[in-house]
Amino acid sequence: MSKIIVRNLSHTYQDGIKKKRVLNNISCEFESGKFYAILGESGSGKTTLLSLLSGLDTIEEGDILYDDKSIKDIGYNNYRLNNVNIIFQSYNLIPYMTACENIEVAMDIMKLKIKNKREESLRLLNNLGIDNNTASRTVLKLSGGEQQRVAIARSLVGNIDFIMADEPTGNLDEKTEEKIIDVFKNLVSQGKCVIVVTHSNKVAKNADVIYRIKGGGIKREKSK
Amino acid sequence: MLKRSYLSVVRRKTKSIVMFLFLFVISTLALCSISIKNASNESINLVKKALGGEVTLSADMSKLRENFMGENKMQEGQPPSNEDRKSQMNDMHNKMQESNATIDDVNKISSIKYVSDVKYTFNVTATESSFELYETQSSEDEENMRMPKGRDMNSLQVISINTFDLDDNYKNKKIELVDGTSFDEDDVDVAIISYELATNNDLNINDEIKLKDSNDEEHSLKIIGIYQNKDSDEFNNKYNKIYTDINSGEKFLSEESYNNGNYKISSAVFYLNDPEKTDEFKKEANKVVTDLEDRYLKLDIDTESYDRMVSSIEGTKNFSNIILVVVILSSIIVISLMIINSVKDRNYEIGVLLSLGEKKIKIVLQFILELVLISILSFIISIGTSKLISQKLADKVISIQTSSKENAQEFNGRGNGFSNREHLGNMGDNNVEIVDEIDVNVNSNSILMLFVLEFGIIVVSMIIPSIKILNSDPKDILSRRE
Repeated sequence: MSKIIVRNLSHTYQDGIKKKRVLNNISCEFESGKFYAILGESGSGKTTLLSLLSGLDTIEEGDILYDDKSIKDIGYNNYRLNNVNIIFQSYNLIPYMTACENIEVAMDIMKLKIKNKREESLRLLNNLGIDNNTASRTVLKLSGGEQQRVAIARSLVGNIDFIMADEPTGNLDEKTEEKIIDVFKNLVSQGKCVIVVTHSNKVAKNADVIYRIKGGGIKREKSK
Repeated sequence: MLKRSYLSVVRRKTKSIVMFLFLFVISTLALCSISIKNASNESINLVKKALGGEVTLSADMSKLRENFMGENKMQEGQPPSNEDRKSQMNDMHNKMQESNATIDDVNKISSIKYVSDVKYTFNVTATESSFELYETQSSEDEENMRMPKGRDMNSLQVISINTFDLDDNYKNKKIELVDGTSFDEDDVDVAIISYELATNNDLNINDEIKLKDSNDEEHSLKIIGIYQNKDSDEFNNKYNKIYTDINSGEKFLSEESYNNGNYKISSAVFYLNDPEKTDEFKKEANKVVTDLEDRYLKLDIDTESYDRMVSSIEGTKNFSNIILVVVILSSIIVISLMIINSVKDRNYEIGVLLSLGEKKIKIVLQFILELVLISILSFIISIGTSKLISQKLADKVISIQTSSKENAQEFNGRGNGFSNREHLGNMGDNNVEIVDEIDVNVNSNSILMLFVLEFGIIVVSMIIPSIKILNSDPKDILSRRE
C-alpha cells in the first residue's frame, strides 16, 4: 500500500508586492484505496497543496514523502512521471490530438512497453464511456464531460496509485459530475488513491476523507 | 517524440505550410549559392592548374628596359642622333640575347623536386638540301611584304624541342599528327614535318630529309611524324616548320653557339606537381641558379592571365558568398522568431507535457524534430528547383560580372595600353579570355553542404526558443490557464 505523507509543510506565494503564507506548517497523509477531498475557500491554498502533492510546485519548507522517500530526492519530474497523475479543471489535453493520441502521448512519455497502444487507449476510454468514434476525434471537438473523461483516462495510464484532480467537475453539469464521481469511486475500489480539490458538496459527500484548509492550516474533518 | 512531432506538423497545417515555404525558399537559395560557389571554385582550380602549374623562364623585359633607360639617361634632353639610336637599339638587342637562359639553367631548375616536367626549345639555323619548300598559293607577294625577309610564311623554320607532345601548337590542337608518332628527349635524328611539305616532296614516314647547318654541313633526319595545320586563321599556319629532337638540334649549332654544351635556349617552361607550390619553386630555383636576376631572367607564372580569366568567376563566387551569408543570417533570425512565436502559442502544450513528466530537453528536441521534418520535404524539393535555376542564375550573374569586367578592362586599356601590351608580350600569350561560363551542377557535395547548413541553421535558430522552453515552469503555465 503506497502512502504520501505531508510533514510540516509551509508555502508562501507572491501576492503583488507582498508575500502571502498560504500554507503554514501543515501535516497530513494520503494512502491508496481512499477517496480524499480537499475543501476550503477560494485562495485558501487548496490548489497550492495539490500542486505540491503532485510535484508541480517545489517545496519551500517541510517535506512530502512518497513511501517514506522525499519527493525532492525522487526528483519532481521523476515523481510526476512515475508516482502521480494529475487531472485539471480545464482538462489540459493537447488540442490538436485525438482522445486516443492524448493517451498515447502519456504512454510514450512513461515509456510503457505496450504492444498495441491504440487498443489500450481505446480500452481505457471505453471503460469511461467514450466510444471508438469519439476517441478518434480531436479533443477540441469533444464536450467538456468527454474531455474530462479523456483526462481521467490519461491519468490511468501506467497504473499509477495516486490520482490528483483539481476541480475536476468545476466545468461540468450535474449529470456529468455524477458520472465523474462514479468513475473516481470505481478507481478507489480498484485500490487507487484519488485526491480531489473541490468546492462541490456532492464530491465531498462521496469522499472517504475530507481535509479542510483554513487560515494556512489543515483539518481532517471526515473519516470513514 | 517522433510521433508527437509528426502529429504537430500534420495537424497544425497552416503553420507547417508557412514554415515549409520559408525553408523551401532558403534551401533553394542556399543550394544555388553553394552550387555556384562550388562550380566557381572548380573553375578557379582548373584555371590555376592550367596556368599556375606552368612557370616560364624568360627575359625580364621591364628590368631590361629600366636598365637600358638608366644607361641612356645622360643623353636625355637632347634628341639622339640616328647613329646613337642605332647603337642603342643594338645594345638593347645584345642585352636581350645575353638574357637568354642556357641549357644548364634548365637542367638545374628541372632537378627541383616541385618540377614534374619541362619543355624547352631553341631555334635552329638550317637550310633545306634534299627537298623543296612548300609555297602557299595565296597572295605570296602580299605576305612577303608583311614579314621581314627570311621570316615569311614560306621560309624554313626548324624548331628543336625536347618533347614534341608539350609543344603549344600541338597541345592547343592548332596542329595535329596525321601520321607517325611524336618524339622526346631520347630520340635522335628524327623530324616531324607538315603534311603540305611531305606531299609537295612525296615524303613519307621513315623517309630521310637532309638539312645544311650554318657551315654548310649536311645532316640527315628521319621523318617519324607528319602534322597538319588546324588553325582556322590561315595566317598562323606554318607549312615549312620542321620539329626536330634536341640531340639533332645541337648538331646544327655553330661551335660558338654550342658553347661546350651550355647553349642558349629560346624558351623554357617548367610544369609543377602542385600549382600551389609556385613560390617555393621560385625560391629553390633562385638557389640553384643564383644569377638569374643579374642576367635579367625571371621565373613567372601567368598571373595577369589568371586574374583576367578568373575575374568574372571570382565576382560570381563573391556574389554567391554574399547570398549565402544573407540567407543564413536572415533564416536564423526569421526561424528563431517563428519558433519563439510557436513556443508562445504552444506554451500550454509544453505545460501539459511537463506535467505528464516529460523532460524539457525532449520538448526542445521535439521542436527541432518538427523543423527537421518540414525541412526534409523542402530540402528534397529545393534540389529539383535549384537544378532548374542555379545554372540560369549563375549565367545571369556571370554575364553581369563579365560585362562589367570587360568594360573596366576596356577603360583601363585605353588609359594604360602600353603596360598591358608590355605584360602580355612578356608572357607571349595575348589571347587570354575571361572565363565567362561555369558549369553549375547540383551535386552530392552541394547537397551534403546544404544538409549540414540547414541542420546548423535549425539548431542555431532553436537556441533562444530553447532557453524559453528550458525555463518553463509547468505550474506557472497551467495555473495561468486555470
